[in-house]
Amino acid sequence: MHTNSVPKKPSPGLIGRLRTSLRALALGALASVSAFAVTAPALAEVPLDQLVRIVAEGGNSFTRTFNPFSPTARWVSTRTMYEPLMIQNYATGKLDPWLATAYEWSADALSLTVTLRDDVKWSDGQPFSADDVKFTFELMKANPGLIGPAAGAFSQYLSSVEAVDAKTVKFTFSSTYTPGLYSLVDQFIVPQHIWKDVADPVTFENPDPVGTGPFTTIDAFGTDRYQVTKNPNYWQPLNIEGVFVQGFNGNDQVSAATLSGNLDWGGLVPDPDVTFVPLDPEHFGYWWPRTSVVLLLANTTDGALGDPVVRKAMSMALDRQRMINTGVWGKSVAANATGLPEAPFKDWLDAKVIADGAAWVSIDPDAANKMLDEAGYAKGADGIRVGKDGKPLKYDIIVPSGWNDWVSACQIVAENLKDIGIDVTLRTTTADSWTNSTFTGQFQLSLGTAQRTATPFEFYRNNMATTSVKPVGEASPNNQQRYGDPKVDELLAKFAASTDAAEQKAIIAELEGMFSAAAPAIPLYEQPDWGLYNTRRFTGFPNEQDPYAPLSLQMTNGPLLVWPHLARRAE
Amino acid sequence: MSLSESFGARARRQLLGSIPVTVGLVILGALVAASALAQVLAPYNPKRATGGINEPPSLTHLFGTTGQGQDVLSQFLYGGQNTLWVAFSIAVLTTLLALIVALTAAYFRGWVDDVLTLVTNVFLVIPGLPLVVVLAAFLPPGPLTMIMVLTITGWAFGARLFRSQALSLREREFIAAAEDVGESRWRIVAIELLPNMGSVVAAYFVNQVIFAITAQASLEFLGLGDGGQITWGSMLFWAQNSSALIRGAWWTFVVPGMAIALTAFSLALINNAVDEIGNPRLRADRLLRKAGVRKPSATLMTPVKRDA
Amino acid sequence: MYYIAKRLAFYVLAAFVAITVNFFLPRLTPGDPASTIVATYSTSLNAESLAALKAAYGLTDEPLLQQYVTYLGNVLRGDFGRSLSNFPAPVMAVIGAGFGWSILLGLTSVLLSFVLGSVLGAVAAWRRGGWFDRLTPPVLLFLGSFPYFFLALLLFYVFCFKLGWFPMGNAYSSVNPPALNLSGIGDILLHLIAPAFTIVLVSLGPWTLNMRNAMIGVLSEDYLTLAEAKGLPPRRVLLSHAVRTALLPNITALGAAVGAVFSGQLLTEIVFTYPGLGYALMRAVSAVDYPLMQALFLIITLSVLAANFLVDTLYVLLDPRVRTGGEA
Repeated sequence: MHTNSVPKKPSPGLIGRLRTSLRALALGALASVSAFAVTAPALAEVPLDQLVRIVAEGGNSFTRTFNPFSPTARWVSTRTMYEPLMIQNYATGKLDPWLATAYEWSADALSLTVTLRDDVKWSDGQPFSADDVKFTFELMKANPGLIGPAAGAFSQYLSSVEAVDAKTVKFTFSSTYTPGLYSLVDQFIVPQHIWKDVADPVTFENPDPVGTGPFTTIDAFGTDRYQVTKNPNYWQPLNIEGVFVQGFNGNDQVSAATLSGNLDWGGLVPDPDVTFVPLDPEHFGYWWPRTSVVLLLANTTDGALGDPVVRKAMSMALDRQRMINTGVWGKSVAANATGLPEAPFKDWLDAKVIADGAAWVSIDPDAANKMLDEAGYAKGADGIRVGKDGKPLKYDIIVPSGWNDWVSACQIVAENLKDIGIDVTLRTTTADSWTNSTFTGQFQLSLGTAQRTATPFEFYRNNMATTSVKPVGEASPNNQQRYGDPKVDELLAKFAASTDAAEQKAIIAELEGMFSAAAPAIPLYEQPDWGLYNTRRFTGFPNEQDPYAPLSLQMTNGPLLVWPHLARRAE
Repeated sequence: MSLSESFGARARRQLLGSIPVTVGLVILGALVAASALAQVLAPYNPKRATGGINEPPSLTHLFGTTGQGQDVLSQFLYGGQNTLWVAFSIAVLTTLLALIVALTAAYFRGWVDDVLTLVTNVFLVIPGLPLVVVLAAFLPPGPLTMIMVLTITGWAFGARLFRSQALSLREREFIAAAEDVGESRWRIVAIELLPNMGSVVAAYFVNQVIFAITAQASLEFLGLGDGGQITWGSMLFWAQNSSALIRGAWWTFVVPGMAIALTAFSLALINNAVDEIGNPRLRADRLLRKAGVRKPSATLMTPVKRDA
Repeated sequence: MYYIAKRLAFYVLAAFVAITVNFFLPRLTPGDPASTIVATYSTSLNAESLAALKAAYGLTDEPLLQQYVTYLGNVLRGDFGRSLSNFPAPVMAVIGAGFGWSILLGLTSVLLSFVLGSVLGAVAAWRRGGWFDRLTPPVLLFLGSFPYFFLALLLFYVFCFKLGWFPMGNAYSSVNPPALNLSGIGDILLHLIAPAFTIVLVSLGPWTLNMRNAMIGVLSEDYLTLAEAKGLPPRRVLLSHAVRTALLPNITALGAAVGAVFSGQLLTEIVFTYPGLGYALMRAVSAVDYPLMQALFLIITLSVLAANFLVDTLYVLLDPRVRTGGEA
């Protein structure tokens, strides 16, 4: 069943012929020796040509772990099996109803009432109800090792969850925290009738999941691939049978499979306009919307890097366009001075802040040199500037070795900063070692990106609030640069307590101005969300013309929105 | 009769006359010289982008450019420097370590020998690459880590080889004679044993250079080297990282790969010749063939126990 | 049997050393598995969640020695804990089938290059000085000079991607492992060709050269000359006496080769997406997955030890001199 559908298939040649005859021999002999044949496992496999072939998980030692609370469980766990109440759609910027149809805040913003759909059933036929929602949140409260979007809600702002009736859930808050909405409705829900009997939900492997999602049946599972097929009770119409997930070991292997047309929905091939689309312009396409910004992070606890003048001068030495051309084949734009991506936050961006800050996010090495000279960072004998503590401005920039776009950006950073007398050495590490160093603040320069969120609230909290600053050595995914301003805390608190959109917008504009003034992180360019598709067999993928959902397979919030739109192309 | 003189003289005479050795020496010499002169020969700064992305070979960039726009020729030259000194250091260190262990065992004999042999055998049976991968993952990446890791995991075979060579030499009459005369054991090791192991040590050393170059490249390819340092292995790593082959940029891949293969090949050619000289049977066979005798007569041969 | 018992004792000792190294190596180096957890979960973990997860992962603050004793006990019971990078799957489930595929690929390639190399070496020695003898060693040396991964990538690109002769990775076509009938086995073999071929190409050289050199030695020995003088046909002399004698050193080398091939095999598996242990090891290392790394390292070591022991035993059967208790 090795379907090789390269458009121009070369003639098979010697080994190809050998292979064909081997196969013929095998098939011919099959009839005569079938008495000896070991019978195949008695699973009804949906044929591969009915399944959407995707590349989403690396590796080839797949285990049947579908515990949605573990981020290292199978990819499908939270993309086809368990569903949240609502989905923040980063392509449209809207909160799409899902298991829930609506939400309503109380006047004091201390309680949130969510109405559920009444036609949802679990994949085993049991009805889905408010009790399952209440159970999921209480399960997470009782087991802090269960991680999901709403983890920690109880310790921060949530006081109780109530099932008012079968279709109504009421969240009661301990303090006003309107951004909590997005975390609560984003939480995937597990069935009470199954999970109440699980002894330890944290280590539960969940090999035969029961969920509300479109594909919950595992009808075939191998060491390096598996297929998940229809939930017979799904609450939406579906035009496809299921998903086929295959593991790959590296970029080259993924690219090879993608270019050969062996994948229907995938991640990344280098320079798709040249390598990918021309192979089959009618069917091959990609869409890289931008919902985040790549930031150059300078550890503010490290001498001169704590000086905003130095950070801004560094920013002005950088050739952003070259980073975009080399790293992402020209498919992005330079970031603005607010640190926020344009498309998802267009309603929040303040044009004046962007215009005023344009200078420090544009290339101008002469001005940068002048700024540093004036600030007293004189050049030493070796041409490297010396900090006020007498230490030369010599830094390491760390980056995970497989992340090509970031690595080439770091190379350019190192090159550009030499021009203003700052010596930067590129150090590539494994992804996990890099995460360790950056999370614990044990680095000098690094790249980072913001979590995708519904509002800019989290971006400024995670990059400027004192509450997000952890001591160096303690791991935290946020505020790796260790920059905190108490004024930001006040503004964020005001934002969180507000239900007035206009007031919230004004607060964010003020935060944007503070970001542009202090440069707690250096915005480089907008990070594309990789996604490409092949419509030879399936149609309906979101793209620039029909941007109904993100195309990226890596976001938790994309695939669930896409499945109901896909359809098998008629032969 | 001391075998060392005859070995040296024989080596000179035979090595220089052989075609494979000449080919090997020419390739190796060219690669070493080019790398040594990188600072003079390299047309560009190997770390800077000096051209477009993945430009095919042209007059401005003889070996093309990388996925980051750097000059492949310059990277090849500087990379050779970094690759070769690390490889030779590893070969020197593993050979020395193996010799020290083997000769200590041969000198002290008894329980020291037993313990050292046991340690050697344990190192021999523990598979190399997984251990190296695990070790390299936990140490900061860089040439020193590379040298340390590959030395620790690479010496054991040599120790076993040298020890059995020393043991078989010890049985020889001239050593027994020296022992009878009452020469000190150290003297016997230093004056009688060591020089007579010349051919084995030389062959082992050359083998270790090959081992070090490929092992280093493998580790770097897996991303366990220092990606900021230009070596042939890291060139391959970056080529693979930017999907060079899929994008058709074969030059970023073939240049460092061939550099590694040619270095190893030239060393292997030399080694094979050294091996023939060190192996009396093959040597006699060759001499006879030269003399036009198709099959050597058995009377010319004295069977020598050789460790495979 | 004294010889075999002695070797067995040695392998048990070597296994113990490996188990110990395996435990202390990751722990003696800086790095905190707890921050790996934070990194994995990436959302803002509070202290309570972190503590709960550390407990679930089996990370304790007990003294190292006490952990070591617990670890030894667990290893003896075959309990390697849960994989950090595949949580909550037990480590053994992650290794699971991968082990079988690695063994299949490893054995196929070692045996293939052993047989092929010995045949080529014997032919070269028999026709020494001829064109075959002159051409074979340099060509094989050249092929053997390539790093495994380089040749693997080239073959992958040319034969799997460009020409499409072989599948682009995996061990079989279907999702569930195929049934062991003719078509199933054919399918498995088809997927085996490209990776096995890579390993054979790189590792063929030493087998051939060793065999050739050993054969030349053996061919010159008295009894062969005598046999030839007695008028025995040359083919029979070659087959019955020379090859068998000359094979012995190659068989000794077989044990060591299993270890060496295993190393090259890991890289080949990664390139061909072959579902063996190679990628699992890489993944474990890059994800700082201690339990998985430990189990993999141990399993690989134990397999190599077992292979060595098998070869030792085989050697005893083939060479009567060893049975009386010669040098080990």
